[in-house]
Parts: sequence; C-alpha cells; structure tokens
Amino acid sequence: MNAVRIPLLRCVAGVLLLALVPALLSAWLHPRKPSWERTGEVALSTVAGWADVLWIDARPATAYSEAHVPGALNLPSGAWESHIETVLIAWAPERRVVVYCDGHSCRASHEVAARMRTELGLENVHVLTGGWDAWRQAGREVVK
Amino acid sequence: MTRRWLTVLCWVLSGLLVWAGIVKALNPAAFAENIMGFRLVPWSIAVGLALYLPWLELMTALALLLPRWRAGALLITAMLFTGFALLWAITWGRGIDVTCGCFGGGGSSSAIWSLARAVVLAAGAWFLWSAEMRIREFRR
Repeated sequence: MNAVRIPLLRCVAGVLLLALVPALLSAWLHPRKPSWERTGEVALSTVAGWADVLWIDARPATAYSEAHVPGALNLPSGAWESHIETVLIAWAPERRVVVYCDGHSCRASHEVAARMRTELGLENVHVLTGGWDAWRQAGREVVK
Repeated sequence: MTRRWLTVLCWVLSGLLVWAGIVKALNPAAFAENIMGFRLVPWSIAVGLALYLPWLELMTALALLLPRWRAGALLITAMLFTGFALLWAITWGRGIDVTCGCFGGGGSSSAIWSLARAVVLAAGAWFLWSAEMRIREFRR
C-alpha cells in the first residue's frame, strides 16, 4: 500500500506546485488581475459619519423603485446615458459619492464607481461594502 | 469498471475542469468578486484563490489525461468538488443568494442546485479515484 501512496502524494504535490507557476504569472501579468487592495470600498459604519453623501443606486430601475436608500439616485450601469445628467445636477465638489448595488457579489457598483472616476473625473467616489444587503441588515430607513 | 471506461470518464472530467478553469482564468477579477459573495474569506484570500484555483483546475485537467498522474489528479478533483459541496452547503444553510461563477456566464443558479451538482461531481470523482486505485493495486 505504501508503494502506491508515495507516488500518489508526489503526483498531488506536483499538480499543486505546477498550478502555482501560471497563477503567479497571472498575478503579475494578467490584464484582468484583481488588485490586492480593494480600493474605493467603504463600510456603512464609516459612511454614517459623513456629513454630505450623494447616494447612487446602481441596481436596475425595478429594484430601485421597490425600495432604496433615502435620497439615492438611480444610475444602473446599463442606463448610464439617460441617468447621468440627473446625477451631475445633484453632485457638488464637497459631496462624497457612495455607490451601492445588491450585495457583496454584485459588480454594478464597482462598474459605476469606476466610470464616475474615469469618465467624469470625480475623486470622492466610494463603493458601499455589502451594498443594499448591508443597508437593510443594519435596519436603516428605506424609501419605497 | 474497465480501464477503458475509466479513461473515457477521466476525459469527460478533464473537459469539465478545462471549461471551469478557462472561464475563471480569463477574468480573475470577476472570480474574486464571486468568491467575496460567499462572505467567508477576506478580499486578499479571495484574490489568492481567484488567481490559483482556475490554474489548479486546468493543471488537474491536464494531469487527468496522463495515466501516471491520473490517480493524483483524481484525488485533487475529488477534494476540490468535496470542498465546493461543503461551501455550497454552508451557503445554502446561511441563506445567502450568491452568484456561482463555477462555470462562467454569471451562474445565477440557486444554492441548492449548485450544492446538488457539487455533491454529484464529488461522488463521481471519489468513485473514479477508488476505481483507479483498485486498478493500480491489481496491476502490481
């Protein structure tokens, strides 16, 4: 039995180590590699201490119309052109922008925040950690 | 099970792992976001897993095609799928709505469906591994 086990473990270790090589290359060279620092995310407890926040709801219009953060403006990533003007009217240099979507696994808030930074040149743009789920779980007020 | 059938099933398993590995290796940033959806690990761990897991799946898929490496590859596959099954069981138990990302395409399947799929795949991989080990013992 030992004669079988030793090469088996060697095979397992070999595959595990071989996979490490392209993984390290990906971490270095991949154009879509994730950043080790999750930039731009902010916890709800932090936002609670901010005076003037412009809330951006990056969820689809149907989800927004059901319920949203008080004062939030709807800016789904797929309807950027038709909604961005309303956002720009509400925006002011001293206002911090916080974008949210459904929860941890959605990417819409990151996409919208990235576009606001790159296409509009806004600096104070953040993504709410946990998104709408975090807001509801904290028992915060919602607008329907 | 005959050696021929074992080989064919290993090819099928290899194809499945190639598919799962490629879609994740193409966009590790998106896969890291998927991992965060499970709310089990911090971001830095999710990034490490997003970079490593797809390549582990691809290397395992390659090893499944090589007879000398097959037993080890089957053991890794079985452990991977068992890990995924445990992950989905925890996710289902916690009632978390999460995007799978297992085979790309957004994967909007429910946790119970993903759990069932992972359990079937894990059981299949363990069965193939035990068959491979029996054949190896027999040949000695």
